[in-house]
Amino acid sequence: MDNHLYLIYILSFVIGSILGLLLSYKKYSEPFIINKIDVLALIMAIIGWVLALNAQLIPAIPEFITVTVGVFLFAMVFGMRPGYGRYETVIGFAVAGIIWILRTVLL
Amino acid sequence: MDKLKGVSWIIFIISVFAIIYALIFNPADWIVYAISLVFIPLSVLSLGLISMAQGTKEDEEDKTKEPFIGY
Amino acid sequence: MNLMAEILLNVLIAFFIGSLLFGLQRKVMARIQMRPGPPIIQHLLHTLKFFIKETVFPKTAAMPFYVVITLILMAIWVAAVIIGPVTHGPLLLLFAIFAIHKIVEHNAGSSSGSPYGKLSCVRAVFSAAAELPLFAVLIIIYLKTGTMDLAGIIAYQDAHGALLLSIPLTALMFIVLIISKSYYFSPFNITLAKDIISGFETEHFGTLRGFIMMSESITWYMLVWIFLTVFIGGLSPIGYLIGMVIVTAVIGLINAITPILNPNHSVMAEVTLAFIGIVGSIAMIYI
Repeated sequence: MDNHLYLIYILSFVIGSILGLLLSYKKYSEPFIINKIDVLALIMAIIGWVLALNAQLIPAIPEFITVTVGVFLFAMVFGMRPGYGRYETVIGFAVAGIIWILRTVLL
Repeated sequence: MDKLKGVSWIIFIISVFAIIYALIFNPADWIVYAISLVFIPLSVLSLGLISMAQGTKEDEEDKTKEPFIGY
Repeated sequence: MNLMAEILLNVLIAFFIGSLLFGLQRKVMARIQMRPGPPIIQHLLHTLKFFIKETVFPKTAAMPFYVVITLILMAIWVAAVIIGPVTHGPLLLLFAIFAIHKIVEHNAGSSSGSPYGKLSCVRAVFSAAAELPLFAVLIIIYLKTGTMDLAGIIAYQDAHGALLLSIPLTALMFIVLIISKSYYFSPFNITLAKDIISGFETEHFGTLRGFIMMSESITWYMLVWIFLTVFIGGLSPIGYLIGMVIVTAVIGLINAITPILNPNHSVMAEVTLAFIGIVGSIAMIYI
């Protein structure tokens, strides 16, 4: 039962990365020079990481759907044009990690 | 090139049938291992040979008539 | 679950994660060299791109061996996936698969008509001296745990703690073996070195090249999987993922820093490390 879930997560990561790469090349025409944080990517990264790591917080939807959607969202930010998306990924992971620690420590 | 594509189609269909047979009918373990070792690579390779790009017909004669034998 | 479905699932997982790990290795090497590097899915995209390009069978290639050798490469690593994650079978068969991999490198080079392929064929024979650590790892694990079965080794580590801590020099020998099989700019990988263009892969282009790259992704996944299972024990899938990322990043670090050794130095370095590993491990077990 576990194994085919991991294939679905991997496929959503790969498809999210490819989409992120294509869309970010359309959006940014230059290599990464200026240290600006993209707000849309930041929101997607935070939502993606929170859904992926803390799927148990939404009991209504089966866990694997939540994790798949979360992985897809954060893969879109992770797979952006090289140089972009680094700070957004780290911030998203930190926020989700803090929620995860609070959840497992408080529980 | 057509001969290659025909042979690839035949091998692809045979491999897919063999894999589906192993999936549905659940034969003995050693049969499943033998089918997976032989027919998984054959299916991937024949799928590649079916889906690969091919040069145009006009260039075909140039490629075989004047091959590069530079040395 | 159906055995065939499990095999297919594990082969697909091995292919995708192996490709992503190669991409991660390139990213780590690039960041060490202070440049952004390619995206992490780049290796996967290259594999798929080559897969749909035209392949032509050269006139000087030894047919049908030229094509059959790529099938053999994929078949042995599917066998490794069956022995490893699916059935937790005997370790000896996995080492037989490494030996056949060496034979495939040799024959893929000699079946093409190109002189670079033939040079790589000769270098593959030469670098078989570096497979000495393989048998040593097997024998030392047998001396330590009393079993050559993956299931038995996992059970031993559940009872006695990770083998990485009790026989670390054996783990070092295995890491040397993994470095010699890592694809990008490894110090010990003399068969695929850039001074012979692409070694035994030079004359396999287009679809056959994509096919070989797929087999190499499965190879990398299985190498790291065997290392984690044999030296750290049964892990949860998240544990395997984190372990694979760490091992790949460390090997990316090593590849970025070390020079690419010439064949003589490469074999001597591997044999020296194997000697240190064997003598040290036996000393640690018995003294």
